[in-house]
Amino acid sequence: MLGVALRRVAVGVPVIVGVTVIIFFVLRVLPGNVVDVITQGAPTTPGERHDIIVEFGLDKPVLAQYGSFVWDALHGNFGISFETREPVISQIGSQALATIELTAAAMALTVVLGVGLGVVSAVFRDTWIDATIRAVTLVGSSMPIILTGPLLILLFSFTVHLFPANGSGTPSELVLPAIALAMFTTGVIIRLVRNSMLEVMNLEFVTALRAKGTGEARIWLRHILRNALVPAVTLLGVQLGGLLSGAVVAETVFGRQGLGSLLVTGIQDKDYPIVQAIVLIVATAYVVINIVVDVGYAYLDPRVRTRLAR
Amino acid sequence: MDNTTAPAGTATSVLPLLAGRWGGRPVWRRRWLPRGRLMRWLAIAFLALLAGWALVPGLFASGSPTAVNPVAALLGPSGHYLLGTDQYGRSVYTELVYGARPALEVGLACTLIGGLTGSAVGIIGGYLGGWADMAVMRLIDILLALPGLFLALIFIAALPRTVPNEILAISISTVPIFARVLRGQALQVRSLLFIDAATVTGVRRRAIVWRHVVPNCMAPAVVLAAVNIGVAIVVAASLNFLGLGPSEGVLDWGALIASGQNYINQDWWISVFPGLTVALLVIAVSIIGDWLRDAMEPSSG
Repeated sequence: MLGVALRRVAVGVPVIVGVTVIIFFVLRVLPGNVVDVITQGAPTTPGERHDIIVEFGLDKPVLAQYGSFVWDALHGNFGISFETREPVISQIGSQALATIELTAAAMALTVVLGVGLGVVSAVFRDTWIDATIRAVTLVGSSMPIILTGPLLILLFSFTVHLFPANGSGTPSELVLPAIALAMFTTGVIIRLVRNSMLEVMNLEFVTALRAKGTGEARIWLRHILRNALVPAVTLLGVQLGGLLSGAVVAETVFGRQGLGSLLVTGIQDKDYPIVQAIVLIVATAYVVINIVVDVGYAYLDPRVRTRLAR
Repeated sequence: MDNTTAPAGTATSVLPLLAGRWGGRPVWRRRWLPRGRLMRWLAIAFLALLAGWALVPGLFASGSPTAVNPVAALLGPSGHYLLGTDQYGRSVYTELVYGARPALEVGLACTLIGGLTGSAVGIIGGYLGGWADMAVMRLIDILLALPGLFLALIFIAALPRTVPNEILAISISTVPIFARVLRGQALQVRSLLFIDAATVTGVRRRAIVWRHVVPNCMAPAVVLAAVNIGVAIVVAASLNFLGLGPSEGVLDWGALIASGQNYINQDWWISVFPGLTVALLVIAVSIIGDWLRDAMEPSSG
């Protein structure tokens, strides 16, 4: 158990370090002169330029700048925003909750609908129920958020006045963006649960259960589903990445607050400290959650434990 | 049916699933789309239509996509304006037709550049093994830690907003997926007996790679490329929707959807039709991708 955890962390740490390297060097080297970025091309005196260089630590060698970027990030300090000249972390802190809310709501929808409809689809395989679920899934997961967003707003905000079209704060404002965001990942999970249930269904132990006289409901829910959920859990960790990047689009579509819309404005304003901080935080969260999923999973399933420990 | 060919115990093999190895096809990649020739022909027909739009837009739409006509602003779909008009009185249909070329250009260019780079990296790692493979694996891990849009967004943020830079950013985000799949495939090919035979008979390594490994890695690469064209187009449209696309005002479906969102209440056609076009494109390439997979890998159907 501990071995699995250590192994995953040993892989995870260099990955995060690599991410910091990409984030720092791409956003420091590619844009050209950082002072020009900060001044937005406005005319400046040499004195003002010197002040900016000192304020943002640009007089130090690049490697030292990278070092202090990582060191400060470890302490929760992501520098000063080019735009507002305020600490980045305070701006992010106020937005993170909205994004966590949205992603968690979408994840909950994905789990409930994905597993639920996956089971229904597997139990009623090759009937019209299965066919309907598959067709709806295909269409739903092929629609990009930039289409589902406006469509949902059109249908449920303006045609039927059920939910507000935009805003963030109240639960009812969370419904439409969460649905739009969960559409794709739900499709993936339905597909996976159905297919892996159909695979487990043909294993010998199921025949043994039937021979023993176990009821169908119990066989499906207790034995087949449980085994079929094994790959679904891992895939959920991976799908979190899809939800996080979808949240960037969904927040803009639905005019919500959050890290995604902050990131988009940060990119538009060339406010690199904001961009660096958000990307780094999202990537770290993604990696950490996947490590937790893997370890938790090895804890639950001894077969995985031996596989991961190899 | 697709459920009978599953090898026993597939559901428990987690690592191949994560590694996305082509041979033990990941469970979620198994057949899902409707079979049948009709769907396939519909998909081909739709893609052919889009190709026609891209190649000779003038043949499909009369008038200019940018001609402003305030008198005809925000008209619903009609005989004259097939899909209605936008807030400037431009025909949405004409804009859709003329938007096909930039969209397909981005989709094809990103798939070509990112796909070739990723494939090369993956094949090198998978075939050489050892430290080269370690390096490739770590690189893939790092790039995949920046999920979906984020990898592209870093480059979008750093570079000036031009079409080539947008293509570069999306291409880079394509690399890890190709590298991962092709690495798995190269690993498998390398372990086949005829590669050993070639090595033993003194065939040079470069010849083995080009004559034997690369051709045997083509099938998954082609399938992945087909699907990726759709993905790249969606990513580009999303970037343009977010206002992070090229600044020189390229006609784009995503930007069209964004501009229509302000009018979604009454004049829904501005957003909905471009959105549907993108969605149909994604469905069409998935169907083609599945078909290619079946055609190229008869054993795994």
